This record gives sequence, structure tokens and C-alpha cells, in this order.
Amino acid sequence: MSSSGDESTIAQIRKRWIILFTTIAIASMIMTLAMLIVLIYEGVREPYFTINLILLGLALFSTYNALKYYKFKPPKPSKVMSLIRCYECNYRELREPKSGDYIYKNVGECPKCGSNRYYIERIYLEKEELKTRTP
Amino acid sequence: MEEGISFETLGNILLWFVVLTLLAYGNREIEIWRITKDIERYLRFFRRARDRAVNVVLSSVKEAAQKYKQKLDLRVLEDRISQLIESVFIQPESKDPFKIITKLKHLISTENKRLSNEIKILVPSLNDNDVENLKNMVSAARALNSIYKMLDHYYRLARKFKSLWLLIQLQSLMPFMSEEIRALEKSLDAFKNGYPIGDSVGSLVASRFIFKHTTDFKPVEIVENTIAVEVPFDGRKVYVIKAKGPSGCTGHPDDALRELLKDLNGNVDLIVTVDAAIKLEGENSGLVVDGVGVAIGGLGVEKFNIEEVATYNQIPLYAVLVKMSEAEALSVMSKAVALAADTAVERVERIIRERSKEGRNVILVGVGNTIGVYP
Repeated sequence: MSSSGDESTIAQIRKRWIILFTTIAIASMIMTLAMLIVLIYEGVREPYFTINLILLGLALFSTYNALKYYKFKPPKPSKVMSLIRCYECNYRELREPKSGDYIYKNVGECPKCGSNRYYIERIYLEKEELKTRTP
Repeated sequence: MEEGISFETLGNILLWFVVLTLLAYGNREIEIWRITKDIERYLRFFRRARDRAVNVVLSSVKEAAQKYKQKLDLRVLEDRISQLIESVFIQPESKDPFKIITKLKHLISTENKRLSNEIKILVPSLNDNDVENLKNMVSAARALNSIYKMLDHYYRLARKFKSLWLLIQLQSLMPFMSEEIRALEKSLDAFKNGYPIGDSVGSLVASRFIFKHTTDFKPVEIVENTIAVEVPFDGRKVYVIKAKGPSGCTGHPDDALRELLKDLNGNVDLIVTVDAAIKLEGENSGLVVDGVGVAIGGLGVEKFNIEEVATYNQIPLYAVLVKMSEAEALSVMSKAVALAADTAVERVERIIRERSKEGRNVILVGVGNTIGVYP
């Protein structure tokens, strides 16, 4: 299925952005702390104070983005499934469809009651829905 | 004290004027560049989707030929498929709309027969199921090709005349076209494997109704690729019409209905049509709604004919719709839609119980592509 390709691409992009934002966040935090120590010992001086504020902003922005990408869970790969049901005893079996399968194909005898009313009732795409943020 | 404006001040004013003019011009150029790049990105994606579709069609024809142990000349095959994908469907002239539906129906029928013939020429031993599935794949590839070419045409025109307004319009259209392209691309997987798609839900509801209320039934092919099944339900006779499955065809529900009404002398209490419908953004997939009218999409030929025959016989028309997104309608049936089929069957049963009398006849029409759904 082409959709599974989309899902692995999403996972790759997510991983790339997490690495990038985490690196920037750690680097800018170290620099902010270093500059803060300098400011404490040397006294508040320009332009170091402004630079320190900018670095702090960058650290917060990168942390926020890294967390955002970390929290985002990529959807699981979609899978086509078929549900087979016995119309006599209601026995159900879930499996991946075979080539040539279609809905209401008689797939033989029910393994539970032996009835020949054993049909494929559903063929569908099992997919985890993306949860959207609601206000 | 100096009088008038000095050379320095004049120079500064001129410099500001030049800078502002350059900024305004530069801003416009940057905007055009940004929009152009965005459109190009979309067009690359559309072209890749079109190329993938053509490859899927070619590989499916090759697989079908291998299945029937038939040798193919690859160059001839590629030529024929390419010609099929580039072929056009010309709508009838509408300046005089008199009998336009009849003309449209004739053209659609000709187009269907031509596609079947073309595929049978390539692989003569194909069975009807494979022919219908390949026809659907060719149609999807044709749609992808025509969308890509049309958008590429407008993009080239906009660049040629450096029209910012045309570019903006094109850019705003791209996300919607992208949805359509994705939907068509996903349909290829379903058609290749013969799995039911979202649009098959109308046929699925009809089939489920049959299997729920009868154990022994004999489908009658009332018109080409369309079957009718008589089902007893709560003291009524329900005649279920649907396309002949499990191949990927939509049948001729309007012709089947006309034939059936002729056989029953118009003695029918109500007609219920069931079909898939595109949901609004705020609606959930699998939402079942009902109403009055004919639930059927397409070019409007079947809808017109069903309305006409029902009006002539004074039979009430009721519709049941299963909502889904455009992408869901064309890709393998989603779980939400598959589950909604049961709700839709219950809704159909309620409509029949409440709006028809015992001992009377009712017609249920399962509309849509019946790929992967028997009978």
C-alpha cells in the first residue's frame, strides 16, 4: 500500500526535526548559562545582556518545538483486513485478505459449527486515526 | 541662513525614493518566486503520481497477460496504454439542452464499450472482472494525467505572462487538487487488488440487506452488468438492484429500475437509493443520513432518469447517504465506512417499515462501484 510509504516518510521527518531542535536547544542553553555566569561576575553589560536574552529565547523556542515533534505520534501503518462470519453460529475470524477475496465470498465451512454459510462480511482498511487538537 | 533644499537633502530624498521603489519591486519579485516554487513543488508531486499510475496500469496488464499465459509486445502495450490515457471524452453540446441526457448516456455507453474493447484487444483472454478492474485503473490514470496537464498548462501560462494573480489563484487551488490526486492514487491499490472502496458502500448495503433477509436467492441480470434480487422483508417484497459484483463496475441502475417498474406495472410503494456522499469537514466519516430524492453521483444521467421514471409512476423517492471524505470514497473502504453499512441497512429497514404497507412492493437501489462486493 502506498499509504505505508507515507507513514514511514512522516516518521523519518519527525525524527529529523526532533534531532535538529534538540541540538539547537541544548547548544543555546549551554551558551545562555555560560553568558549568564559571565554577566554575574562581570556585571550587567551591553550587548552581552541582549545576546543572552536572544539565546534564551532560542533555547525556549527549540525546546518547545522538540517537545511538539516528540509528542506527535506518527500513524501506524495501515493494513487491509477481512472479517469472516458464520451466518449460523455467529463465529468470527479476522485475517488479512487473500488474492481474489471479496465481500460475501463463501470461504468454505465454519470451523465451529461446520455450516457452509461462512462468508467474508467485511474487507476494510484498519488505520489509526490522527488525533487533531480541539480548542 | 541657507534658503531652499540643499543638494544633500535632495540626494537623500532621491535615495529613499530609489530604495523604496526597489523594495516594492523586489518584494513583488520575491513573492512571485515563492509562489512559483510552491506550485512547482505541487506539480512535481502530481507528475510523480501520474507516472506511478501509468506504471501500475502497465504492470497490471502485464500481470494479467502472464496469468492467462499470453505474450505481449511491450512497445505496442506501452503505446496503446499511453494512447488510452491521453484519450479524451467530449461532452455533448449544451447550447440546445433538448435531449442532452440521452446524448450524454449514449456517449458514456460508447466510452465504456471502447475502453472494454481496448483492454480486450491487449489481453483477449481476460475475464469480465479483470476487464472492469483494469478499466477503473485506466480511468484513474486518465484523471491523474488530465489534472496534471491542466494545472501545468495554467502554470506555464502564468509564468509566460508573469501574472501574479493567475499564480495566486493556482497556488490557492493546489491543496484541494492535492487531496483529489491522493484519492485517485489510492484508488489504484484498491482496483489492483479488487478490494471494496468507500464508494462501494451503496452496493454493500444492498448486498447486506440481501444476505440478512434471505438465504436462498437468485440474482437476475436485468440489464447489462446490473442485477435484481427479490427479498422478502416484513410482509413486503423488496426488489434489490445493484451493479453485478465483485467486478469494479457501476452498472445501469436507471435502466434496471425502468425494466423492473415495467415488470411490476408501476406497482411500487417507494424507491430507496443508497450511496456514498462526500462529508463536510466538520462531519465524521461513516455518518448515515437520510432524506428525499435520488442518492446518486456522476454526470447526472442516472439521477435524471430515475427521477423521471419515479415521477411518471408517482412513486416517492427516499435516499440514504453514508458520508466520507473524497480520499475515503476512492481508497480501500475504511473501518468507519464498513461499520456504517450496518447502520445504513437498519435505516433502510426503518424507512421501508414506516413508509410502505405490508404486502406491497419496494425497490432498494444500491448505488456505486461494486468492486469487491458480491452479488
